[in-house]
Amino acid sequence: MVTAIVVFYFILTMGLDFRITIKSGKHNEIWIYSVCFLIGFAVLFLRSLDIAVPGPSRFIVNLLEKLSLIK
Amino acid sequence: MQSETMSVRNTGSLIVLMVLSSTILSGAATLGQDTWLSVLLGAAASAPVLWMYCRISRLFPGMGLFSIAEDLFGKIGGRVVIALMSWYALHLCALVVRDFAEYTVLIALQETPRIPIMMAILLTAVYLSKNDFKLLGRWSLIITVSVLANLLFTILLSFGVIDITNIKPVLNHSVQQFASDTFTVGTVVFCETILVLVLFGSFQKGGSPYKAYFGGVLLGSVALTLVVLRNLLILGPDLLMAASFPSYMAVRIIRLGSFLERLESIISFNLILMGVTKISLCLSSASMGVAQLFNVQDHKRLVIPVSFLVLALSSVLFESMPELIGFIKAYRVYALPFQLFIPLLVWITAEIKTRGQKNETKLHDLDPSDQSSPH
Repeated sequence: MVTAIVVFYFILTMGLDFRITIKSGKHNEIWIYSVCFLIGFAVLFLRSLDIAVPGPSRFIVNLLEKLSLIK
Repeated sequence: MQSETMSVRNTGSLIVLMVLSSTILSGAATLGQDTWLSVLLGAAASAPVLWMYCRISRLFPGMGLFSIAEDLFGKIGGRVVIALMSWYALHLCALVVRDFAEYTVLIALQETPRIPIMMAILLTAVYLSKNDFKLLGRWSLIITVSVLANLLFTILLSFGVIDITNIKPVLNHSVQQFASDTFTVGTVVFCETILVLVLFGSFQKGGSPYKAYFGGVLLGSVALTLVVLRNLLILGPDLLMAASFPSYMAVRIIRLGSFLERLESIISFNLILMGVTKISLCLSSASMGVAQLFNVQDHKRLVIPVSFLVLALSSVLFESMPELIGFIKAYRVYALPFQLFIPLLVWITAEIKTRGQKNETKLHDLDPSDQSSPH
């Protein structure tokens, strides 16, 4: 169910918003737009299937512990 | 740009909401009956940092933090600063979205998956961010009035259920414990307002940033102290520290006879509206940063794709609410470069550069050969 919502949300936002960006013909906009959407969709899709994706919080905590900045 | 002007009052309101929206994390308090003191100490300790933010804005009127950074450090140095601050805005946005999703799941929608809830919260924030900053400012003013009215209402109604002895013993913690909690309050509550500085390119011409910042922080810290005191006097120190969302729990106890009950919905109303405002500010800051990094003229065009990244990031941040509360200990250290070191670097460089320019102008005025020169 969540996967279906994620796919629907992706198609909806891409369909409504990305179309306008492509029409504008600005390559930098299209490039950054595609990267954000694809990364976002890939991570969300995996999470919606309950597949663990490493997040930045654990990395930040580990790094700060290694640097002895937190106990 | 003129149509996007944010007045001093509206910017102050935005800062009040930034401060008050942190009440959702008051479950992270560790000082029990002395928590209200740590809020006041946190406000006082953050004052020099907030002064620094105002000073940066005063030195570069009409410019936001990202434009200032590019002006001071050049294209490469400026972009490094913009990239770091954009990451912070993106991460903070994801953290706030996740906080409010956890709140909604824990309080009302236990069986609902988090991703659709986060989508719903983000879509509202996207609508706010895609409009002028003027709209965000006006929205902030209306929400501030409504939140403060609700706060006063719940305080007045709580007189029947409060126990004044819950505040005792006052100052029953060590200096080290006070310092630790003050540090947490300073970073989590007050210094996150650095992101307001990003929007200062749209700040009212001739308006005082000191008035906006200190007015907002003063009102916000007084309101936050009242919230903490209300929760403490109703719940007591032990329950205050044990509860994940003390405001919700405290107001749940309040009732006026048998006809006015379930007042906790007011707290949900307040928190969601404040959360949407904070998420919208973070989202605007992040999309402005990404737009500046990739030479996109209109940052509003990037609000939706950046919101997609925020959604993805918030879905992988934590597994549970206790993990989120535990992260605050690391967050206060992690946030220091973004809230203190980068602004400090910007401020020092800005002071040196503007003084150098002033000296050059003075020399130019005093040099008689320059006056006779046709150039």
